[in-house]
Amino acid sequence: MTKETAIYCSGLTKVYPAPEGHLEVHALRGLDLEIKVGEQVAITGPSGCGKSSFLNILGTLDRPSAGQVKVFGQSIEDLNPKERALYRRNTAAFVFQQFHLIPTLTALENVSLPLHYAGVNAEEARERADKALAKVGLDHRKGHLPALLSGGEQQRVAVARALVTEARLLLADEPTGNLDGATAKDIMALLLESIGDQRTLIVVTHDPEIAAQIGRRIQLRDGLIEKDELSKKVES
Amino acid sequence: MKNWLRNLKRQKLRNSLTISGVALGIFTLVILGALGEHFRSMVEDSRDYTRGMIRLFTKTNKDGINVGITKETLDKIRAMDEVLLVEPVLTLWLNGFDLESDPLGFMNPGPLVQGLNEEHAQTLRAKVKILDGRWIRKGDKHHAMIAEWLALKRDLKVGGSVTIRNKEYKVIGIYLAPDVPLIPSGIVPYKPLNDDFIKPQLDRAQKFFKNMSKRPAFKMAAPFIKANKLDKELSQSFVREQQSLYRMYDVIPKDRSDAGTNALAQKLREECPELAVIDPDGFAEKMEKAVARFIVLTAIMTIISTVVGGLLIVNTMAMAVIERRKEIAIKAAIGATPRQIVLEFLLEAGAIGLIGAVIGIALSVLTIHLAEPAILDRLENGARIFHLTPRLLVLAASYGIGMGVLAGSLPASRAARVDPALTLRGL
Repeated sequence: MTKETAIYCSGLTKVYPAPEGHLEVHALRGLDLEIKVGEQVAITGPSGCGKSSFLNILGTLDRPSAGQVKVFGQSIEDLNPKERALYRRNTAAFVFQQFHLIPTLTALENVSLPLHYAGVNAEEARERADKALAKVGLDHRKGHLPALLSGGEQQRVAVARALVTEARLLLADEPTGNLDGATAKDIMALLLESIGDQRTLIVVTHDPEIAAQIGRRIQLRDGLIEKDELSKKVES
Repeated sequence: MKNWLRNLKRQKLRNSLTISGVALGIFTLVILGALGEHFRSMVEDSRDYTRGMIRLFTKTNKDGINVGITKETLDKIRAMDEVLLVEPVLTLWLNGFDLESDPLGFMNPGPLVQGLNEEHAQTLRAKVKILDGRWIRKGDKHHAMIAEWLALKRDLKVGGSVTIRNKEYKVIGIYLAPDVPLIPSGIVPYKPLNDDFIKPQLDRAQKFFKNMSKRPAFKMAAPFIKANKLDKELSQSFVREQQSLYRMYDVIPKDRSDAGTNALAQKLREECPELAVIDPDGFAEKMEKAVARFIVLTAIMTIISTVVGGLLIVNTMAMAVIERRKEIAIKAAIGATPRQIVLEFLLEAGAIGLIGAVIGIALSVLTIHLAEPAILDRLENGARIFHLTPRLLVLAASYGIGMGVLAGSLPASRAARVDPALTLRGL
């Protein structure tokens, strides 16, 4: 059975304007790409090749300079600020390298925050956040502030926050970049295990070991796809 | 709510100073507002007290002569079909006139006593409520009715005595009346007050003028002025003018409705142009004019104080937006709409305004509670200075929240424009 398209990009271009006297930065130079629903994709490549720009465009944190992007059939390049916020709330969820938790909120409150913005009532939000924290093995740390958690624990909270809204697209930007080797493996295992086959996962990473765990690897260079390959496990 | 408090706790010193600034603004608003409310209630109480009553005063004509209120004029007014009563009213300082002990007496008017005829006093029954004792009646001489606030202050009781202008009066009644300059602090029979304090002085003044024209020194100084002219015009005008400072006439119409009172006042103006005729609207207008300047001044001071509080909130919230750019970006990244971000900052600014307002209101209520009795003890010119009304307190709280929200709107709109991609990249 042919799977539906999750992400479709055509001629995707991102140019950052430069200060006077400097050259513009071309982060993406007409990227064409299709990703199916349920795919797990690693985006790799050297610094400045456009990985994060691509992820930010998919997450509507940034707009493309040209080209077309469709996510689950919805064009996202011309969304207004409110529509972009709703898209981030309902369709795409982020996991960042720096965890990006709110320092004044407990783990539980951080996880339930997207639900709060989605208008879910406090009791239901708390129950769902509880479950998400239990899923990442942190139900015993839910009352702690981020400062009292280790890096690995903070990233688990961030994963729980991304999972709690049941967004269909999970965007992870160097999710293990700030973690030691063992913890990085744990977090990746957690991510891959948690998303199931209905969610699409896109992971930006420098780490070949992390990329090797993911089904499809797309290598970027100078804003274009240099290599797009499936892992042996997926091929088989 | 918990998160707001956490955010407020983040910059304790800065937020405390901002809340103090707001509290100071609200404190000023409540204190000056309570004074304003007192003045406003004075205007309203005066309007109620003077309803159905017209007061006549003498006035100086274009030749500089005060023709006074003659017996013929009074008879003419009494003969009008619309008129129920025309009665003289004496209004004097209850403690008398003593600039040595009270050199700023004109700035600090003391309690007033009014001399009224018995029938006239009866017409006030609907306006002041007797709490103890009885009203003035025929045959009373040195008997006095005293306002409750003065009775409490001087520990006066029915059956006891009160000193009015160095004479002892027996207290026959204690009444509750609004604390308004128009309403006297004591009511006594007209005749004894007139006989004791006014008539002798006027007699002496008239005699003085009469004799003065006969003095050789005066004749030498002003030989062209004829003695009889001086007697008839200047001296009497002077005396009438002095009289009119404390003696006026109340006209009570038969129809005491507003329309009936106004119609009679208009008729009196037309038929007695030599008199100043003040109707209830005129009283209210004069009271409003008297307090208008103060109210404008208090409004300006209040606006300045609260604007300063508002600017403090703008500064605090602008700093908070700068410090929390990353948080704002995280919230945007996980699905907060610009409106939700704006709302969070507005709520926080509103909370600062509300806390400042609550503290300001509490401080002002406490200050009024402690200071008012002490001030009144020194002044002895009324039952109160400040009038704390529920609407003033609601206004102050709303003003605090509104000021917070308004002051927070600019920083909040800046928060909503934070670029999450750039901010999360640390740019």
